[in-house]
Amino acid sequence: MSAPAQSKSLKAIGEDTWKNKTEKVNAELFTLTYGAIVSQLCADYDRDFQKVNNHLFSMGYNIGVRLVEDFLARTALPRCENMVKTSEMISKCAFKIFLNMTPQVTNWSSEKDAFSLMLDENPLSDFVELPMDAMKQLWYSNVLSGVLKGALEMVQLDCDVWFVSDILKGDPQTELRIKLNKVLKDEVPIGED
Amino acid sequence: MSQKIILPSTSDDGIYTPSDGYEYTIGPKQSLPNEANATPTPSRIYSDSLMHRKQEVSLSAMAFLFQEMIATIHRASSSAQDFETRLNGYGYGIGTRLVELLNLRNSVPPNYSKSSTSNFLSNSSSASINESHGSSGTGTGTISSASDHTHYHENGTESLAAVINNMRPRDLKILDILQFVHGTMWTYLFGHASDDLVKSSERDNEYMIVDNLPMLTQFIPAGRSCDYFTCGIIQGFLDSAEFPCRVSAHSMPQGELDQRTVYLIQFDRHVLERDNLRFGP
Repeated sequence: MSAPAQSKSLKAIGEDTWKNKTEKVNAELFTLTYGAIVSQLCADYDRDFQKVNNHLFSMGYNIGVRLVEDFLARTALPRCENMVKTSEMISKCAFKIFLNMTPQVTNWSSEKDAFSLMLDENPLSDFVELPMDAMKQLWYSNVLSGVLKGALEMVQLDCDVWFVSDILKGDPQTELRIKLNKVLKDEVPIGED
Repeated sequence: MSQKIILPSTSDDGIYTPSDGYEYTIGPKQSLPNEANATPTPSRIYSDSLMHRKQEVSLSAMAFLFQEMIATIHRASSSAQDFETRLNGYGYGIGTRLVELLNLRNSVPPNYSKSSTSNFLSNSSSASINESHGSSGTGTGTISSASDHTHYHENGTESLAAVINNMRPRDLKILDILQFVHGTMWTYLFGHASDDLVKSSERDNEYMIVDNLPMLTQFIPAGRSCDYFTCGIIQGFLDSAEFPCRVSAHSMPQGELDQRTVYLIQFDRHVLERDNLRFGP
């Protein structure tokens, strides 16, 4: 199967799963709930936004390690053979199925081990405007980096995930960067040999 | 913290001196203090439409986020009551925002949408209230089906205010505002009206909203502590509509419905007195 055909079928899988196999809720409730979480964290950490970023990341990580199971159960997709395939999978299937959006994959590194996701729409940050003090440091949607980190780790991909820019900070676009460090080896769980 | 709530008029140059925080009297600004002289970018959220675009995310995403929120609060809480109070607070802020928002959207003429007519926000009127027998809160409500959701066409720039001819007055009667919560608000939040709205026969300031399967907590077994998020939304909504109350969640299984939850709303006494003065006992 050629590469374009594959990516097309991933797109179709994502759309079909979203359409027919996914229970849905009002995105505004999701937005409002996330907003309540972030604003409460800002208050709890006394507006130390670095700590808020870290907390959001760890929340996301916890979600990611469990979310990947949900994703695989829904789609039954096989292992990706390279990062290009992984990026398509994330953008066209994972983002589609959970958040009904398809971020654009771009800015590949020359070694094809790092890429960016452009979040044109982002249900987390609808109706959001950051106060001036938060604009400098807060990565509002940082939970997403954590989710990707956790989920990729569960499929043996040790990656760094971070936000490069955010519309909320006055940047022209929201860019999420993913860089592969190494492919973890499949290890037999302790006591099962 | 330098809270300068009352500032001189905005024509005073003094207010543009650099500050390191959000100035509530000026409102949101897109530029950082040291860029204050640059041309200000108009805020994005003010040009966004409040028109309901039917956007959805998966229940999984919502459930994962909700679970992590619960875990965060749980770690920070010292007791079950502390937990419930904190969780209530998360929902409260959401409820306060819904009073104006849902009222505005509810004021859009039902035949407005070009692509398809919507009865999203107008199906609450046919819901009925039943007197319950005893405090168990049983009673069979007849509720109009909330099958049709909004299908406003995708148009981000459309102004909500421009299509509203008559602003729907905010509900002033206890029963009316409760119907709004039971029908309109529930449909907005959870995609269906609540399963019942019941008046307590024992105490006249108590009302109950029943949900047979709470959407957010359906994957969380035992105990209704996590439903205090919804309690907070209800309370925030009613408080900011000037119906101060307390809301608590109780498990009331009925037959197959083992997750059936009753949200008990206890209005402050003066709310009842006002209702009696205005509308008679």
